[in-house]
Amino acid sequence: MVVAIGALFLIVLPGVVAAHAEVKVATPADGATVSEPVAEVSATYTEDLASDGSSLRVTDATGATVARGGVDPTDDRRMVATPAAPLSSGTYTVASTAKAPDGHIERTKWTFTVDIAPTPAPTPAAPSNAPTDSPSIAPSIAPTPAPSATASISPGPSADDAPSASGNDVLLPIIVALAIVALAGALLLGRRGRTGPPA
Amino acid sequence: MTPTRIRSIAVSLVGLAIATLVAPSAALAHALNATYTSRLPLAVYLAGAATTVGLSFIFVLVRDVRAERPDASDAGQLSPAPLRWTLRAVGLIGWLWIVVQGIAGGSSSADVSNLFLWIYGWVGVAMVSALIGPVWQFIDPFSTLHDIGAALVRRLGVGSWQPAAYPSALGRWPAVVGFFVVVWLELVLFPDPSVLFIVLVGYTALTVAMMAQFGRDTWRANAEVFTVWFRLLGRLAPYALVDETGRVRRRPFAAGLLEPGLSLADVTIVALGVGSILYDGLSQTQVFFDLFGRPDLIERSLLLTGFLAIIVLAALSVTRFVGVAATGAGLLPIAVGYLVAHYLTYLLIGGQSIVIAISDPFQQGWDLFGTAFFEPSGAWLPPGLVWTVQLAAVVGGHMLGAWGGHVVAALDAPGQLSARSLTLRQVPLAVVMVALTTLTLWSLGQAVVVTPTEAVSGLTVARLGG
Repeated sequence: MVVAIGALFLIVLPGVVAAHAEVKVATPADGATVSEPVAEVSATYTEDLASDGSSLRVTDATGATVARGGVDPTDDRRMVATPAAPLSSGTYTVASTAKAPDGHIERTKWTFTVDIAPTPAPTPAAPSNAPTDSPSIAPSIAPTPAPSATASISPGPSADDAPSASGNDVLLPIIVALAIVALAGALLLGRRGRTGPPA
Repeated sequence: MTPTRIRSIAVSLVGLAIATLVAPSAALAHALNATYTSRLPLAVYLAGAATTVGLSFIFVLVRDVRAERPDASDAGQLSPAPLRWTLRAVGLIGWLWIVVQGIAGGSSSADVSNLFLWIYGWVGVAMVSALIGPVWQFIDPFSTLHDIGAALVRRLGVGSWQPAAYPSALGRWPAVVGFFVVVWLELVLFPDPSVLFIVLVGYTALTVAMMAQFGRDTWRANAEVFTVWFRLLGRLAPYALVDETGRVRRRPFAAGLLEPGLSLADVTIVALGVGSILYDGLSQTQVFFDLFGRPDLIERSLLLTGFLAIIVLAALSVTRFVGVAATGAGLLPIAVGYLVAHYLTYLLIGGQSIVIAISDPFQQGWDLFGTAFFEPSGAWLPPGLVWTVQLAAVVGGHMLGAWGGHVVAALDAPGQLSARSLTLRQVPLAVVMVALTTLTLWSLGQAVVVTPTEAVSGLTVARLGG
């Protein structure tokens, strides 16, 4: 029965690897300071998004929601949120809930700051602030390589380079310990059949 | 010896273990904060291991502590009804929540299958069972579902039937098989929520059917993996289960180690428990990585099976010298110590993700209470305290085991046995225990070597991912 269950898992397993829709480029980028009012907050993703369940929410420093949006109707890999009025000076937090078509949800948060110079602008800010116009600050929410389930062995690089106590030094006690156990076991098998204690 | 005396010895032992370890680990935390590349932990851990070895041998060989079997005649009493019904409700809601999420599909940090089954169940309930009392008796959703099903069947007018006789030759061996499967799921397969859901539903169907076949209480006591394991751990707990109705009685902590009833299958399960926790620690070390790289599913299965076979073989060999009960009494506290040392941070950090699940209970991308973006954190856990607790748990467990094994060996020994041959009979048990404890302390030390904060959070991330 155990074998049968195991075999079942071997068959099921490859089919259940979840697709992760992660943030590729955020506009404005994480940690960016923008000097113009922000009329639109958007992000592109590494996978297609399911419109039902994916959302983008922008909150100001007080926690009040200033914009709410979802998947761009023209691009399944982009979400966009448009505030009622362009965002003025302040720090904003974007909360992205990205649902891949297979149902895997990735939640990501990032912040950006709007800092408009106090000098009166001669003309009102351009109403449409295309994403390509925004300052090209490298997004720090770059898609990190997703750690696989087997990555639980995550040896720190520093551990490799440390000079003292190499793996072999500490392996020795284990081998000795196992040898002792094996010896005890072997001794025991020699005693097989002798159930009574020594009188 | 009276139970009070047993308790005072047990308490002073644990106290001694803590006192021995607090000073070095406090210094250790400081050193680690100053420079993360310090190799000090290894030295401290080896010192801790040496202390343990020394103390346990002194204990077993020099101080020939004896005790009588604790009085188990107290009929006990039922815990308050609100507590019992709350536990039942919690178990059932948890089960239903996993099933609803499983049917809805998807995966996210709001997943409750990993949270409830591994973190709260396999680790959390195990710790509570060992340190407080038999909560699983009522949480157990399989029994609750069986009872609900039985009530429905009765209402439909189907008469009750006489359950079949449970084959006594099976003993608790079905639970041994089940335990191995669970450990394999935990440490080798790392099932996704969708797989875990299928496993849960399948196991529920099997359990309820077998309960109907052989009687609920018989199946629970012999074959239901979680009940058997949590009851074994409960031998340490100050609240002991008296009967299947869930009556409990008070007793000194760890006095249950001296109570009779341990079978060879029980000792096998305890050995599997010790071995699996140890394997979990060892498989995350640099040495394991250097030796085996990143083994695939088949290789991982073989590694786990081979490692557990060594531990089980060692334990079963020891039973031939010192007896089944003494081996069980020696290994059980070790299992509990490892459990606490290895999984406490996992429980405290990973367990926080219930906050996420509450805001998006069915993984639909909701944020009902504004907590969906919560990130579990271990930043509030002082590394020095964590290591102190871990060391105290491992060493305390080891010493309780040394005490339990010795006392039970003396109780079970034939009357005419001299003190010297009694001591000699216990040497294999002591050797195995010392080997296990040294390995554990070493593997705990390995996890620290990177950095304390990264080790703690990295562990959690890896586990949550897996």
